Amino acid sequence: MKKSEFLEELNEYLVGIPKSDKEEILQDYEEHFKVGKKKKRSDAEIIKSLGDPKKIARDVRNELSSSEQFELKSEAIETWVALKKFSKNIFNEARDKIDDTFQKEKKSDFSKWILISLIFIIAIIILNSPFLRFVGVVVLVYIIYKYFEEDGKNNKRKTKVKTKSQTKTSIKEIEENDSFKVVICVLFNVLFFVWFWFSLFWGVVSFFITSLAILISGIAVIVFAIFALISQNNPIIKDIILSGLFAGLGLVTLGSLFMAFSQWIIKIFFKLSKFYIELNRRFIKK
Amino acid sequence: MFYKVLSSTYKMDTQFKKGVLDICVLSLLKKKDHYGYELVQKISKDISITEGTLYPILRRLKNEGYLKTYLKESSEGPSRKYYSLTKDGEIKAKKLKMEWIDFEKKINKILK
Repeated sequence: MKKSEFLEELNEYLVGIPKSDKEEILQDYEEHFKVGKKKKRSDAEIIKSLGDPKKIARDVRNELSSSEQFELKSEAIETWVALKKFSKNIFNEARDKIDDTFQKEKKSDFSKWILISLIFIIAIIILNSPFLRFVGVVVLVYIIYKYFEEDGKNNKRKTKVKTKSQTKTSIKEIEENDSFKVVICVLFNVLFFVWFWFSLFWGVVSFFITSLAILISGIAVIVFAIFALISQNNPIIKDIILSGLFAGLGLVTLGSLFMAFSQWIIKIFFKLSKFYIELNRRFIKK
Repeated sequence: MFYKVLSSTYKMDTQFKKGVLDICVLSLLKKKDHYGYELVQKISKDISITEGTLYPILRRLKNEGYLKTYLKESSEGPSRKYYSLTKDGEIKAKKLKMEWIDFEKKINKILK
């Protein structure tokens, strides 16, 4: 990692921090680099001693926010940044391949497949038809078949392609991916996983909303019961209302229990998605 | 609920370290004004922290009104941000020092 990369990453993780704070924090770290350089320390050394930008952002959020929610917020932000990085990766890969197709006479192995899969993805997202998804699965199987067929045929050309893309990486500093794996990964995610993820996501959200609703209704019942108690004189009705008050208290307790539990679930959900994105990244890296 | 219990035990450890770092920063600044890098080096020499953790703490102390900053030209290169104590900061430093000495005595008594 370089100094500029470190600062940029820190900047990304500091989402949601007030702008004045954020700018000053970034300036502080920049000054740290400058002074360190004067003291004859290399950038890599300084970065190592500063620690993970992710952790720094957590510390900042911990120090600056008065609420207890900073941990949950950090999980959400880290998931978002991981997703951003991952999609950037894929996008770069696709762009490179498309560039290759148009610039070179000789088509590279899988550029057309990446193009086809991109069109598919867009079509699936727009139309969301089961038929297209079925076709997508067929294409996926066909690509896998093709890949293994070509793999046996020419290993020579592959190494050539590899060295070429390696020089490109060193210039552009893009993580090098296996294009075949990228196609598989993207198709799999769009065809199956994204829908699964969204249903889980809405499940979690609806759980949270439900618990909120229980909590609010409990409060409403209590308030109503108190008002009714004040206005009523009949002792029998008063007893009934009193039991209603206790029901309200029960609802509030249940609601807050659910709230705590749903917070825990949301945290785990973000952690899992972060883990899954990281898994994908590792899968497509050579 | 369950996770809150878990995270509170984790938090105590960091809270403790944070408190200690507050004392270190404030008493170093009581002796003389420092710039960020200098502070980080002096503290990380004796206490094992990742150097990045100190800047957020400085930021918080500043927000709480214990520190103020000013820019000063340095002989070698660009101007640096210096940290100095405010009136509140001096009082806080004194208070924390007393608390620490008291705390140390009590712990030592238990350890004996």
